[in-house]
Amino acid sequence: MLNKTFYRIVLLVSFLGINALVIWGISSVLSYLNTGADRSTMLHREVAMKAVYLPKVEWENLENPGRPMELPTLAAIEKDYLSAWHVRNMAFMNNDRYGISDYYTDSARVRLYEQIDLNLAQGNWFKNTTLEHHPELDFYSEDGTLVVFTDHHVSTYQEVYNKEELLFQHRNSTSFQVLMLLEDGFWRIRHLKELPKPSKTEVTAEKTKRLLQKIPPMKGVNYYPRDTPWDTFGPTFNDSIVNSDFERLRQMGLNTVRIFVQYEDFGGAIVPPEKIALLQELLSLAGENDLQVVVTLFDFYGDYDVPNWTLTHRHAETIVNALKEHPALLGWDIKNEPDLDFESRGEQRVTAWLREMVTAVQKWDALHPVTIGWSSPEAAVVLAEEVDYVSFHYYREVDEFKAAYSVLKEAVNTKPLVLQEYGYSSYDGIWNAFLGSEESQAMYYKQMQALLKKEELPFLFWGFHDFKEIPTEVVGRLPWRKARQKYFGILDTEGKPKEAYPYLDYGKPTP
Amino acid sequence: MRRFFPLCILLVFTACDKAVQPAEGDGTWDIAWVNPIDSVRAGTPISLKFTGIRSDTATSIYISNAFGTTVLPLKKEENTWVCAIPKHFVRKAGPLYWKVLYDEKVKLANRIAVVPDAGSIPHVETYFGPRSITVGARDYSMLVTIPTDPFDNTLLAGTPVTIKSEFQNTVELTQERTADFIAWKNIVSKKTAGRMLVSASCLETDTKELTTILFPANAEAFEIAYSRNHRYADGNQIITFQTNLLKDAYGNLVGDGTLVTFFIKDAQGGYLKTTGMTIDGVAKASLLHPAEAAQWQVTAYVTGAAKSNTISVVFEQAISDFEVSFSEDQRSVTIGPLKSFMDQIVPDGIDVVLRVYDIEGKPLSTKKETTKKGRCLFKLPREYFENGTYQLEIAAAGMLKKYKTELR
Repeated sequence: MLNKTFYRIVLLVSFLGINALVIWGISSVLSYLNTGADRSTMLHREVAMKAVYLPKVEWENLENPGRPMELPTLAAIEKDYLSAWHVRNMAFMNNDRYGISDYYTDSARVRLYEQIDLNLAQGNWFKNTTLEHHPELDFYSEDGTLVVFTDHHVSTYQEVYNKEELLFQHRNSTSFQVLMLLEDGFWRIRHLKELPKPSKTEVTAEKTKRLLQKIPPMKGVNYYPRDTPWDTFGPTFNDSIVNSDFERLRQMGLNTVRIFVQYEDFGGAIVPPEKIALLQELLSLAGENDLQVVVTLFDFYGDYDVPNWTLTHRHAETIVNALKEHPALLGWDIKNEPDLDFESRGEQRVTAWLREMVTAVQKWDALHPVTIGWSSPEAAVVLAEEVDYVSFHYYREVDEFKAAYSVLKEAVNTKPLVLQEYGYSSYDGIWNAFLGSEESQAMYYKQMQALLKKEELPFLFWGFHDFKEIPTEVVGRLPWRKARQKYFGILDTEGKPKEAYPYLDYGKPTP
Repeated sequence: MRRFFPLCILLVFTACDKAVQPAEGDGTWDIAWVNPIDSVRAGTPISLKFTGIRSDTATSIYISNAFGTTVLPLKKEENTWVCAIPKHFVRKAGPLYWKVLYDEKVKLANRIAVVPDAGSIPHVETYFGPRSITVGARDYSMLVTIPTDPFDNTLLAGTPVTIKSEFQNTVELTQERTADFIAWKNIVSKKTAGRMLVSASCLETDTKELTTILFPANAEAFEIAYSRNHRYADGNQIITFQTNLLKDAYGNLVGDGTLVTFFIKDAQGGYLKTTGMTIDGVAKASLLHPAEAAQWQVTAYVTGAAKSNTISVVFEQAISDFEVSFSEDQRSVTIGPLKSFMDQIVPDGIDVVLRVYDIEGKPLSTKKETTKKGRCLFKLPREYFENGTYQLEIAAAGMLKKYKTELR
């Protein structure tokens, strides 16, 4: 009897279960069939894409024998054309077809697929980017679905890898003629043909156009406001504090400040105008106080990877173009102590990025010198050919300075040298067994300033103020590092001169 | 080694910019390209052969064209080192670059021009649009042709393409030459509506047939007329307005479905509107006769394009009078029978309005009814109208009758 009831229950439950499954199955088929292209997605307008690929694009000529080009269409073509480059770059990096079908027509994508399959089999992969495009419209059809243009001097950079090994890297400038078709809302590449090379003179001409000012004899400081170290342009930016600091620097007879522009803080690829306004304000305050400003870009940036190059280029271009006319601008420091990233990111990756960035900044601003703030005299030989003057930092013993400096001077003999950071912490506490003192800091500066005067070496010391707090990103969490970093100033946290102050006070005779 | 980078890059530039011969290298190896090739026709297999390569294990060959890059090892065959260029590289027309790499340096580099396979029968893609245009000399469709070789390479500039179009038994041929990948022509509209067929041919290849429809242009000024069963305002019969044949400037009947709007202005300055769409050039629209005498001024428009003449339509009064009778308590008012122009009972549905005022003339209520079998009945119930004297107004077929009555 019990058994029978049990079977009944089992039968009933399984009957209900099977029915539920069948209904669930049918409903999921139905709901699947109802997904997909609804009207809102038909035109691909729904995805607000984050900027991932922003090479410089300058349309040269929109005259064409077909239909007059509308600017919104041109923007759509440009966007899809750049996306085509981006998905192709990504496909060649990962040997993955992802995204190709969105931006290449059936017949064009076959060529890319063959390429990817071959490279996958051979273990080849590539990091590609294009930094500049100069398209010129050749033809736009009457019904608005076909466009032909010539993309002149596409500036490309490529790194060739086989498995883990870098085989080769090179820059190039190539012109392409492109035919794109408008297919279901996407402009897709149908034909892509490389054109004969432009003449070599065009490539080298850009280098020679630079009209560099002389590197001035810098006497100055690495500057952060007292209460907001490593956050000059944050929400607490206060022009009167900056102004009073700059007034004091002028009274000290100094002529230069070095400031830091943080990549993420300044919006990454798209720099907000408010930040630019703050930078301009700081430069104006400096100018009013007879100070010139070295702007250090890309602070706290540490990626350097080829796929992001177009983004860092847009970042730098915006800032360079906004400031290059400013009378208080002295020059550009591409990056602070990039050699410290050699170990984690790879020397090749960092130097390739730096080389490209130096060239780009030199192109955007032909007047102001470009440098890189290397962390040691030994590192400063890297890219010495490319920069306009060589900057190095020195935090070691005074006695060893002369030897290290001579080696560097020998190695880069034609380029001016600047000691861009040096200093001594007067920290006196548990972490250095109470061995530091203001006296030893003063002694350091006394010796260094004498040396620098003798060598006629321009200098920017570190730093102006002592700081109450050091952000963790700067030296890490370790308390002995933080503690040391707090006391590099020649003014204490109250703004009173420390013992080293007189040695850097060029407004009065040195004691 | 880092310090050689600039040199290395310079070398690459130099290598790329040089004409085909001679090959460039860094000079430290005694490397030679033993089967130099300037240019090949697309699809021809190529093998590069070298001598003087010192280390065949660490040496590789870099190959690139517009569609990508690869790196391949060199194979040793007796005293030479060989690289067979992968098929898809030789199928793509344009410069094909190769560089012999060793230790991140270019030992030898050059390029081969791959030219489109012009000898084979080409493919021709056609793009035609817009697919409908209006007649007249202004509008046109554009035919774009892209002739390609069997490997999907666009043919060299200057390749002749014949573009053909047929319209009403007349065939026109023109020859265009490719530039910027394409050969194209604007196919200008004609003066008569119809279908135009186009196609193209390039060398021995003919394309499929493509069509554009020439639609008539906008209508020109037109005339209207009306027709009706009789001239009486009986509120029942239908008057029909009709256009003459609507044509464009070239004498083509306008497209079916062209909307014509008839605007009617009555003697009081009020407007009525009715619309019709053309079929075979004629649009018709209807309206009910008014229930009272009227004079209409009628003008028709094709919005934004054309206007008709204005015609006048007169309706005579059909219902000359009507009777009103009250019940004993005066609370039921019967109107009718309403009679039309032949003393026939009017068709059902003539509007009758009763307005009730109090003795001072203050309006209390308005009731509307329609006739049924020529009559209609209003009731004035005690719940709403207390006993007393009221003024009543009855309006029907443009006539008004007034009564003073005492409801009981």
